[in-house]
Amino acid sequence: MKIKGLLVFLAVLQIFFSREESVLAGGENFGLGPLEIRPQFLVNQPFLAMSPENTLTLKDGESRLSFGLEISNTFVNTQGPTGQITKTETARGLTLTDFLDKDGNTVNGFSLYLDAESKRKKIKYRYGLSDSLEFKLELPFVSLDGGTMDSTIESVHSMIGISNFKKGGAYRALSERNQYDYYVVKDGQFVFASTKQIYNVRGEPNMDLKWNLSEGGKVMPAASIKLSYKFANTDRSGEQKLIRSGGVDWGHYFILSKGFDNWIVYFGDGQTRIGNDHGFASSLFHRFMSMEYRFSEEDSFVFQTVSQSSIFPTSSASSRSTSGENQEQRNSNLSVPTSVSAFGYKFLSDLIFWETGFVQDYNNFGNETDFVLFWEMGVHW
Amino acid sequence: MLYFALQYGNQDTGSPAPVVGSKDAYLSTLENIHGPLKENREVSPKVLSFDFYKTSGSFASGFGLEVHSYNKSYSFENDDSSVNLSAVGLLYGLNFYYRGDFWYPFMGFGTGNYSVKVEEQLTTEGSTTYGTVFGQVDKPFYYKFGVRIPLNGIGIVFTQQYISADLKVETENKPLSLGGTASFIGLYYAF
Repeated sequence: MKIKGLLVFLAVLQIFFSREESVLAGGENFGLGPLEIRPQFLVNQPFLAMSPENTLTLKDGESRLSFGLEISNTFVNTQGPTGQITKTETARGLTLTDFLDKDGNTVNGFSLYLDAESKRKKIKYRYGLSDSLEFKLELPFVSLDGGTMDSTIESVHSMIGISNFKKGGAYRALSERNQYDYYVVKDGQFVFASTKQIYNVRGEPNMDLKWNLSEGGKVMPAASIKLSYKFANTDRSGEQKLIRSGGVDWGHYFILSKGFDNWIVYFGDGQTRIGNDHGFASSLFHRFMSMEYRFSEEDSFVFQTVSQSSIFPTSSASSRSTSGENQEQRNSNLSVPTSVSAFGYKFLSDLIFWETGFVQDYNNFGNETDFVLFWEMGVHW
Repeated sequence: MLYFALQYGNQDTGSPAPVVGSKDAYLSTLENIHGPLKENREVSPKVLSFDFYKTSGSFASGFGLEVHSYNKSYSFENDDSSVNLSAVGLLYGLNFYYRGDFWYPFMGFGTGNYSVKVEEQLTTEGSTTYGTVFGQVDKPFYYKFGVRIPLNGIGIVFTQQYISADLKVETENKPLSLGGTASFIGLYYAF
């Protein structure tokens, strides 16, 4: 532990002492940046979520206006192992008794039945307050519906030998495709229970301030810190509570980038503090690593991994059971951190900005999306 | 320059990484109830790695990404209890190379994450309990050193690696080491 602390200390120390070298370095540690995709898991949607970002900021007086769309497919059925929730139960509407365990006992902690696609549209405006300080304002609009991707995902599972009747395939085969159901149960009580699809509900805006601390040099990385603040909208009537937390959230990301010829590596570590958590986690920890390969000055390929702690706090649920199938219902796999990988393409010309890619989970925990597609395009001046 | 490598070797998860590691307690706690382990703590990971670096004279610095994967089953002397472990580690970090005439020694350090599944089937006085714990170690730390011997584009790589990655297994609330001390040998291809 002392070694780790020492390395972090030395890295931070050298960042401050490398300023003179970095001015001469001329931006060799900057690329087009990581993929700016936030966690899309349904239960995370009302809260602030820190997204990876470039260390580079817009220059003084520069602006960028962009529009983005993030489509994610989520399917979680914690009652799948016992077959308690299938097409039959969802057709009649789920009740709390569907979330008891097979012996009729209340399941401690969280139980989920999530079958939805979310479409998160966002309008972003950035402005360079100085050559190293950037301001951003983002306004999301969120739709939740049954979507169209279920059959494709099930086909991909089948193609690579994953059964949709088992945990690896999330028990998808027990349910109808492209349906919308959003149920979250905690200690035997509904937190969310909705089958009403919603379209373009305005979420809570957030603003960021990003400061490029150092451009780095031949040895040291560039470094930036980003602070984010989500405004509260206390109107959570009806299905709006699925989109708005009604509380102020804020967070930070410390980001490093280092160039190795055509390759740029990014690393970020951050945290989100949730103001009004509604019984979910009060803070989230984030970490990302991106590798960008620059085809040219204008376009890049990016591979990225992102780890994040769970929105579900650790509960008193026991991880052991005298029945193997009942054990799977217990929420030991909901409160653990999770990771996703992402691939994408970025383009930046004098006027146009464009980013596209997809995200895939690889842990198969119940606190993450199955599949995310995203686009963002904009203009800058 | 790019290196792509496949490596294989032994990793003693019961031998903590010097300085950064600590002794775990999960399996020893189960041993107190179910008897000594029949197997040793060694696992055999397969390692797929991808490194790129920039040279400056005889020295080079770069970034590496490596995927470690292994499975292990443990059983106990006194009863039919068993624990199955599946782990996948995605590790990344900085590497530093010296480019000699015939061999390229290197060292590196970094972090990443481990995704883990621990399946227990424990028998006590005739009754059996089941436990499945999914987990992630999201702040492991590793350091390593080794040597590459180039042979016309392809080459041989030897790596000695020390990994600190402890998972707290919820059923016992005790740490289980996924890292330890590892020795790998493999082939690489330089692009």
